[in-house]
Amino acid sequence: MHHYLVTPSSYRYICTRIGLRKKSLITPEQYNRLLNMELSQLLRFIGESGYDEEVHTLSSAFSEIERIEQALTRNLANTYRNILSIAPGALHEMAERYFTRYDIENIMLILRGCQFQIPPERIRAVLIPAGVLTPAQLDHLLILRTIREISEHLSSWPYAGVVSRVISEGYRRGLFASLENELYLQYYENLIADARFGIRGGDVILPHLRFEIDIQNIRNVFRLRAGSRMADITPYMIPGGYLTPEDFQRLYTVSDREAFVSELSRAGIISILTEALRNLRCDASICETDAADVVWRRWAARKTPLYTVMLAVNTMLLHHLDGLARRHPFSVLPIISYMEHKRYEVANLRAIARGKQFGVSPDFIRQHLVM
Amino acid sequence: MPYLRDVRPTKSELLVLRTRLQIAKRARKTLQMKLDGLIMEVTRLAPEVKAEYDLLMARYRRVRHLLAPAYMIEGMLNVTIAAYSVESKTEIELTEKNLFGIRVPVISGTNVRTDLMERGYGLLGTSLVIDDLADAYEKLVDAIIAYAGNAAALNHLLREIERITRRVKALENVVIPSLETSIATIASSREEIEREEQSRLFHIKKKRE
Repeated sequence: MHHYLVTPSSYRYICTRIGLRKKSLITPEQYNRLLNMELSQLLRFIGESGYDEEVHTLSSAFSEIERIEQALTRNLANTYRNILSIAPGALHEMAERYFTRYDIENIMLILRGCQFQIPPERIRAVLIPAGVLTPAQLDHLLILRTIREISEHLSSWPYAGVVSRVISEGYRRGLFASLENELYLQYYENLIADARFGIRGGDVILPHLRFEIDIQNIRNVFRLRAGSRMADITPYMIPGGYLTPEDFQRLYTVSDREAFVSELSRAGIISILTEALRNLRCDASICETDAADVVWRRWAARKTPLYTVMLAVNTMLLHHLDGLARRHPFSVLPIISYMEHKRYEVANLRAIARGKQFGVSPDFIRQHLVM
Repeated sequence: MPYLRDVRPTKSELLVLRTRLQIAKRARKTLQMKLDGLIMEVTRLAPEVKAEYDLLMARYRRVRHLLAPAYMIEGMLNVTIAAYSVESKTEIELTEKNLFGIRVPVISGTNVRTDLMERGYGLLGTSLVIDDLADAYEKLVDAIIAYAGNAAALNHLLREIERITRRVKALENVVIPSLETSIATIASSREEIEREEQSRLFHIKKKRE
């Protein structure tokens, strides 16, 4: 059922506009030039590109690195809100639901900031108001004094029920971790339900969502294996991917190499990791056996996979999304694809700026870029 | 410089000085034995402390190495928030133990290494690099606690060795020689007095005859 084929002109207009915006994002060649710049040159570059307004409105009292990081975050928030304001009908609805993840991020930041008494202006600097909650609502939440008050003021938010249920008894140890996990689990459940049945044309997003859920679950099963001794991990696995939580539970208990490799191959994880390693090391000769060896060594030693490998997997996820967006040019996918590209552009610029601040080599920084 | 001045050349004084000399020699022997014991303990402890220091530095370098990627991937505030989210507080316990009569500190920590699910940040809202960084910091704190206890014990022992060495040297080079000198002076004075007395008695006897 592909309703998006009957596209109103506004759909074509917005998707074409997004396509043009996507072309103006920083290219890999430009990243190569940026890698060799100093921090001050980088600030000038972003001040002369799409981030000029944010850079110039920030006070020069901030250090260069703070100005860059704050300008990037503000620009990302402005871009998201702008896109949501021009997206029509079901596109707007689906994009808004998809970007509710930023609401979750924002709410968790505000709750933690409130509980741990972090100055509100520091929290405000990193909020990305791209979901249902407006900047004014987030500002209002920031001035509240207790997490209970915040919960009470969230009544109009779709996930208010989860928040009020979890924090009804007040703060206790482990509260925020369980709340965060429950919110994300609910988010994916709602999103899949919306994509399947709730919103017209939402089903095109399902392959991307499933792939993303699988990647998240792979990452988390490694993290749990490395850092936890719990026996049942299914409550922490997100349902809705190509692989079920039970598949990951089976994988979690494997401690024999052969069984591990066969389990990964059966789940299609080995091919993803092989591709990621090839991209990361720029070596086409890496085969599935090499990838299986790398992963098995980390698994057997109860270590997390190298974060650079996971960044390479994120690059694959982005390319997968691009492929889907090309196949469905007049759907919500080009919007999500652009927003994800924009998010990674901001992450890349931040990585370059922070890398320069720490004085690490351009090659090291390049490994942390998603492009 | 003589250890004792204005010593009266009397028999009782001589006995007192001889007793003092005996005590000083016994004290020197005891302190020397204690010193040997402490040196053996330091010899045993020093390589351990060195290994712990090397481990501490290696873990510190690992933390520094991970800090750059964490800031690059997550940004400053996300790293700060993750740090604030940690709810399991490490507790340091400070006790003492007796080593050759010296009270040395024993430092131990509880709740240093925590399970991923008990750290306080959510699994689904954070990334791998935060886990790696948290893990590296926990290992660093573990190494600091192990190093701090033994390094403090080693410092105490070294200070005590220095103090005892000073006392042994003082006994060897000042107290015992000066006591011996004083005893010798008294002995020679007393011999001189005895000779004078004998001579005086001899002359008196001669006059009477």
